[in-house]
Amino acid sequence: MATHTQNPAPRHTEEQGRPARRQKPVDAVPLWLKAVGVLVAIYLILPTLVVIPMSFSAGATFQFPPQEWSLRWYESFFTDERWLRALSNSLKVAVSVMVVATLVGTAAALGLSKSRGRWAEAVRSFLMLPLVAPGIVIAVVVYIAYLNWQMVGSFWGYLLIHTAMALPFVLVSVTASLSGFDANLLRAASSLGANPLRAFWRVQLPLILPGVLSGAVFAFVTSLDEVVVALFIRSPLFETLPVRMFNSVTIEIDPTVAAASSILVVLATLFILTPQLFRLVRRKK
Amino acid sequence: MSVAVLAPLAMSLWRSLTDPSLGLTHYTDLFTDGITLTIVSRTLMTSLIVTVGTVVLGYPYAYLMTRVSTTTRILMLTAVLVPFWTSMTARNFAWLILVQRDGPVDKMFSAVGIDGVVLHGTVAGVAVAMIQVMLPFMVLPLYSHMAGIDRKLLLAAQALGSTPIRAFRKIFLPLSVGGVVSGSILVFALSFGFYVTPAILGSPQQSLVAQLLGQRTLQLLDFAAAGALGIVVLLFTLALVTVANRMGGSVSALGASVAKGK
Amino acid sequence: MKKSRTLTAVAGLASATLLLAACGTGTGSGSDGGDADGATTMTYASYGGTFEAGQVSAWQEPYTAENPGITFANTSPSDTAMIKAQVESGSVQWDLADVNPFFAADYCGELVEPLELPNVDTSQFDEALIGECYFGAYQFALIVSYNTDKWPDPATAPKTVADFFDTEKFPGQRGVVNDVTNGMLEYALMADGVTPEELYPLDVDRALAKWDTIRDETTFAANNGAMLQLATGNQVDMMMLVSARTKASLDEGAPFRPIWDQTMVTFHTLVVPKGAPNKEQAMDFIEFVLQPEQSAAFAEAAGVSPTNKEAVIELDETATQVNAFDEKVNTGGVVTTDAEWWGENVTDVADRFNTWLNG
Repeated sequence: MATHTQNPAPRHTEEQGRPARRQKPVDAVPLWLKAVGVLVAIYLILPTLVVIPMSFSAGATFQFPPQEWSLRWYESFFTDERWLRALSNSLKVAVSVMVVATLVGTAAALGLSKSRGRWAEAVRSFLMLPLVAPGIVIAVVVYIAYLNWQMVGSFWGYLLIHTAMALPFVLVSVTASLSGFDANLLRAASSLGANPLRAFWRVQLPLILPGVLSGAVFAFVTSLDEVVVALFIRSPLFETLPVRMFNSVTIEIDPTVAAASSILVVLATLFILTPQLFRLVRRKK
Repeated sequence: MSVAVLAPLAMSLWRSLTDPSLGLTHYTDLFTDGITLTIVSRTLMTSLIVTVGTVVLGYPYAYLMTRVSTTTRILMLTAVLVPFWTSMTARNFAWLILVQRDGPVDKMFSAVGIDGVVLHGTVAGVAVAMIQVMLPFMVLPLYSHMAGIDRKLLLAAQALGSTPIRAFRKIFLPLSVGGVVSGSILVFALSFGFYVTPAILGSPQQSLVAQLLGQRTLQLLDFAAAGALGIVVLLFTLALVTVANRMGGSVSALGASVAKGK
Repeated sequence: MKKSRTLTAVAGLASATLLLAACGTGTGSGSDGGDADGATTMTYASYGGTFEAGQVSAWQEPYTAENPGITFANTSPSDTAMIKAQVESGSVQWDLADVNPFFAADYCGELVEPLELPNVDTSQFDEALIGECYFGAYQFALIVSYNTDKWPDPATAPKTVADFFDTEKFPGQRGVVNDVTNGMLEYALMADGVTPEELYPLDVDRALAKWDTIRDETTFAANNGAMLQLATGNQVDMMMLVSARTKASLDEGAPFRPIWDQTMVTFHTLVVPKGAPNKEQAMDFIEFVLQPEQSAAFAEAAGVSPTNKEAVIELDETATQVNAFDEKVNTGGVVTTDAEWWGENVTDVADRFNTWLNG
């Protein structure tokens, strides 16, 4: 929201650490509205609720709820070299994307926060493009270009395009944390004799660190979950987990996909909750 | 970094205009080849259904979020964000299980006497899954918009003798329309180019524009025509998103609320 | 103090992951597949599932046993458009692909290498299976079958190809793979009254018009694996599916029984995409799989028929049930697809079919 300061409408979104102002009710919330709320919440989490029990099914078809339970699909996942290779490819790409996107995105956010005007706006819009462009359009044009550049199915190909797709998230979350940063602090630091780098390292970075970290988390998850572009630029020698999953759903009958899905859910949840826990622990201290 | 996207885009644009000869034939073909228009209108229809669906479900939900205790609100927000960290492929796989023949949805309808509700391979099945996928993109901007509405206005109206429902309709509803419009445009734009759900839950004889784009590229290798269609889809999406941005439902704001992970 | 320690940790993690990524690229970019000690990875494109598993166990594993150092990376589906994309962009990754012979004939020398198989005894094969760029590796049928849960009594069950297209007499969901080369157009014409002798040249418009009559009751699966999934998940009541996958569905306990009216049979070939990284090795592999033992082994594993006449096969129960070449099983006739007609028309027909399907 910090990126659109021109918004006329006043907003009160909850900021971290500041409890929401309780608004005085005008009237009681009707029961039917509560019921709708519960139903919609169930609808939202339904697929997640289906995937996890499916992964413990003993059957070879996609029948839900499973008739019998077993760990065979986890066994199949962890003993099949192709699934394991797909997982390790995905992790390699996602971790590298996280590192590169966080570094580049943070630098871009810092640079753009200092410069105003048309030029900076244009750069920002271009960086945000992959967030709003349909995945299929990116997939098609990147695939055609990669064919020419001999980059189909290469690690660097994945790294490049996933980083571009993850960058907006880093940019947004770092920019948001920068908006709460008082530039006078930097000036104070340099007047006390700190060089700019040291001032950034000791004063600015610790303050924007939560934004940087959550940007990193989203960069990781974006790459880990990305399937459309990956589907187009895959090669037999380099396939990521979502692609392998997509093919198991559409080409093969392989319920191992349920185990893979659950593993991805757990991985992403861990990654998203870790910074929250980190913050919680820090606050308690 | 954005060169990674811009350069391929520029290449496709160039090819769509010059291959095999300079001209707009690939663009005019989109209107005259007979299939593209059919598929585009089917896609527009589907996007519209998805948009209406997300408003119908998202509006009461977002409204409820402004009216509950902080703990409940955090729980409700978590429910909105769970889809974000459940893998896209996994979620669509789950929907495949839910809507197939003899799946839970089919059985549920059979139990109340309606047989043969098999949504797999139909536009309805795609819509049911896509509404779930898109719902967070409606709820988040709506909530952020509604949270900014001062409820004292409603109190005042009530003090002046309005019934709660009338106060809601006359005051809250008009104030929240901006959120609805910007959320709708966003959902519509995102639905228009969506690939994974139609690819897993749809069927070849009812394909949507993203599938057509994939097919032209991977199966027909008609890169120039695929480029032309891709550029049109991209421009359409960008135009809608820009409008949504102007109306206040900024995409970056959405990104921020997601990225904050809360 | 605490904060700077966190930062050090983050920086450490960052550099560690960069290192990890750098190590990881070895496997990613090695598209040529060769390395210092002569080990070669051949990229093999097939169709996934138990079918691909059959080619791995009957062909690839014995080959690796005879040629240590040569291993296979499998991918699917073996989409002919992917071959075209790879060859035209000059980045060929596949060494071997399992495709229909019509594609091979149509793009012989252009997208696929002419086959050089000096060690194959051509007298062991039917002449119709051999062309400059193709050499039948296995034969199979497109089996029309019905769901015995839906029609338990054989007396009132569907019996002819025409019944497949008759949704009034036999209401229910149909399923077919949208691969036009396997015989789905021929079936439509025969259901419409065309005799097997008059099939070619195919009247494509008439065939599609026949499909139009049951289009709303038909699930068009993207590929054989997806159709198999629909069968085992009990999602269809009648289907057209290649024999190998029909066998696989029976193995999974799916309740289907073949209709033995006229049955379309055809064959597939292995091809080497033009400019494949390991062309010689790929040719050697094709010679290997055409030997009687390998021909038989894959037929037994997957439920197809061998092309090598010397192959001695012993089929299990489900493979026997779908064996269109066994006169004790197949009480109807067999119609072979016309390779010559298809070779000339495959691209055009596929385009028309896609347009029809999308419309």
